[in-house]
Amino acid sequence: MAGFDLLSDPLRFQVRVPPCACVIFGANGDLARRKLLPALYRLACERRLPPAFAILGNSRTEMTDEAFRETMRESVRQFLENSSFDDALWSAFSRNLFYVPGDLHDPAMYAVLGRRLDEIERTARTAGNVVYYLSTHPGHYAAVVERVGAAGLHAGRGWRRVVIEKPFGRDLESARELDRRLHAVFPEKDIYRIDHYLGKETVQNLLAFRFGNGIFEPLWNRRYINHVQITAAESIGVEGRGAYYQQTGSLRDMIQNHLLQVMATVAMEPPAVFEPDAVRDERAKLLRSVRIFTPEEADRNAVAGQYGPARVGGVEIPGFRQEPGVDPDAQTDTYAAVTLFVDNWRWAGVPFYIRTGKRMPKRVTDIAIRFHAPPLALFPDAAGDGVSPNLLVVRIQPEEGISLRFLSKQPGKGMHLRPVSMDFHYGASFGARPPTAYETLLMDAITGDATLYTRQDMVEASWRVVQPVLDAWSKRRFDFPNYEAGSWGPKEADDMLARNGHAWRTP
Amino acid sequence: MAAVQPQSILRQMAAQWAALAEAGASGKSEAGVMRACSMNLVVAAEDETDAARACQTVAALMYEHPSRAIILKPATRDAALDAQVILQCWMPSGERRQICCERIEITVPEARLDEALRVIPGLLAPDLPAVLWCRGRSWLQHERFRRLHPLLERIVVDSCPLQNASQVFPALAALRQGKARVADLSWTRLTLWRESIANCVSACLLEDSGAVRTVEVRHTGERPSAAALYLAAWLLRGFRNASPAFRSVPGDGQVAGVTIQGGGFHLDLQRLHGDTVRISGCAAMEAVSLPHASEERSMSEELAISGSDVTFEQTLALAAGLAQRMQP
Repeated sequence: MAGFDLLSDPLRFQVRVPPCACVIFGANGDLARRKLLPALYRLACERRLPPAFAILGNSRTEMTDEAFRETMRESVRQFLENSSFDDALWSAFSRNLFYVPGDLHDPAMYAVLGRRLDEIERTARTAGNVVYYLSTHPGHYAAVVERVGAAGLHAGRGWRRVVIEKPFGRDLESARELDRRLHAVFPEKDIYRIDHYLGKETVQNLLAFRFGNGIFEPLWNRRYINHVQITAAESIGVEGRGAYYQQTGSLRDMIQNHLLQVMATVAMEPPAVFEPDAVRDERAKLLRSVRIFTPEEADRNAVAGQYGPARVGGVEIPGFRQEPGVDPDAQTDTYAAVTLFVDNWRWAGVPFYIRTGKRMPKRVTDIAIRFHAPPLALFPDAAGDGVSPNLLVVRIQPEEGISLRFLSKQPGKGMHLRPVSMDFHYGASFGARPPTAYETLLMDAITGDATLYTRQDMVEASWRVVQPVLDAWSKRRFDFPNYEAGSWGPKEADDMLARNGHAWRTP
Repeated sequence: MAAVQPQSILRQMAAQWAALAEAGASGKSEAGVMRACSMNLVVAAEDETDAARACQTVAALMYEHPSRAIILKPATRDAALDAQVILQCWMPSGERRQICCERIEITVPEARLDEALRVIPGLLAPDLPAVLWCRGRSWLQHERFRRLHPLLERIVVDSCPLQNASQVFPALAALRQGKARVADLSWTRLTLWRESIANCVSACLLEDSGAVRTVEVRHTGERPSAAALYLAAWLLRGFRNASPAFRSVPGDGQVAGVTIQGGGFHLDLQRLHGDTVRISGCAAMEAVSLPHASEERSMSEELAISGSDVTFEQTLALAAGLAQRMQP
């Protein structure tokens, strides 16, 4: 095969992508229409998909191949980000778009699916390689995988992989149960647990920033870093998904998966090599080092919040309990903040503050690394306390980039200092459109690169971290709402940091 | 005789930055402006007409490759040696801050090129790589730019204007004697061809690359261009037992088609019209769009590459050998 390797040119084009078919369960759903199909279309536009590639959609809606193509065409048109729709390219792309209607729990549907896959393998030369993407309600994951196995579609001439979206269970116990059922059909190496936060360019850039540069890593420890704040704020509410959301809450929805993965990327040790398992081993090791709270510690180090109604910018915003489909006495956390500690040599004693919430003042996700203040305050600064610690902010969205705050002398007489910011702005330095998280992750699943996917041991380690908090909260009756829509969360979250002499920054 | 001094150009530039910042402050702009610069791009235009095109292309490149661009604009003998500083700014959609790049345009009467080149070291943004882009046939007189060579990380040329490929490779070899790496846009324009071929070969699941016996490159023009030689050389690098063949055909673009065959394997790519290329043989897709690469796109691709380009280096050596063998 050496000759084929010599035809590759990774500096200029994607290394050969294997031929394959992508089966999307839930193809008529929101995720498929808003994210998956637009991502696959973009990959096709950039010629990153192999010529032998086909998509086979499934959902309950009765549709022909042609009607499915038309539905997807409209979705791609509507939800394509940062690029324009091209009719000619769509026409070439959609030629290999197929559809099988049917119920996920109906064995006959899988028989039809198998026949269509055989046909596609012959006509589109997909070599028997199949990615099954479960874009369905999480409650169906295990059953669909079992049906795929029962129909014999989990094995064939080529490789078979299954991609599932979070949540991976509702708690540690259900995560293990789901895993047991998935593993009865697919081996771990073929299970791709998607966490789209890990596909974001800035999160990946954290690895480059930390391990590609020599100047930061020596400072990346308890001797120089005072604390870390991770914020994922949304300005919107539950957007009609109140009924679903009240079963979940922000701790499960964001912290257990996305934000713990982000934290692991910030705090992990350098891997020996940049290979999927080496990177994932380090992330998993970090997650296993996060302190597991006792019930008392969980009470002290976690804050739940729920937004109440407010008038913001002349608009009446309903409280969570007033959202359609939400129980008027719901105990759901639409805000969660936790203080975590990593019990290892690098991070002992450094608090990691993580907060996430809905209906906050703006949509922002960032990581702020606050360094220790200088040991001696030589200069009075604007704040009058003589010190203003350095702050490194990694912005994940919306303006991706990295800023370093440091003090500078104000021009003019006297020695007056003022914080200034040194900015790296992704859009300014790399004007090219960055791939969306789904483009990156779908391509990785096709090429078999699991670096940015989570692994079962990481899933379980994350559940172990949040489980004591979930248990403590399940025993409490909260006096919700405790923060107004449009604010930065409940006062208790400020108090939690104040106890350590810290304060939330305003992103 | 007008003088162009780095200090005065840099002072002009600093004054423009200060004016921009002041304008931002008076407009109570929250975020102000951001200077974006990832490299120095020195552009040698071929003539006055080409200088205007070069300025346009450089302006378009700034979005993806923000640089301090220094454009040498040839002028008539009686024109003054002169420099102009321009800040090119744009506001990315949905963001609050303007992003600005620096461009210095130096008008250079031919007799004063050496004077102008002496100014350039003082104008380069510090600690960033410098790339020289010799447009048109200007690279054939690269000796004139020798003064800059120690400062350069890379020299980008275009062999396309040369009809006779046998001239190309000795000239490139001479250029490559310095420490700067050399890139040829004729090679860059082949990326889409190469990508399609690599994908098709991959899709065909060919088990033994050694079985391929012939690679034929169809070219326009009487003799194979440098691009045709590059493509054949790249294929021979992959199919080591194959022999190259060239065939002249009518059409546009330097490469019109490719056939790879042997041991029961057959793959053919043929440009039909416009951007469409028909693929026949083992691949599932019958036609793909392979747009002719624009100057901007090709430059953008080259500027995105830092460090050595092993594939090009090896292909260049093979192509030079092919060109030598084909000499009458």
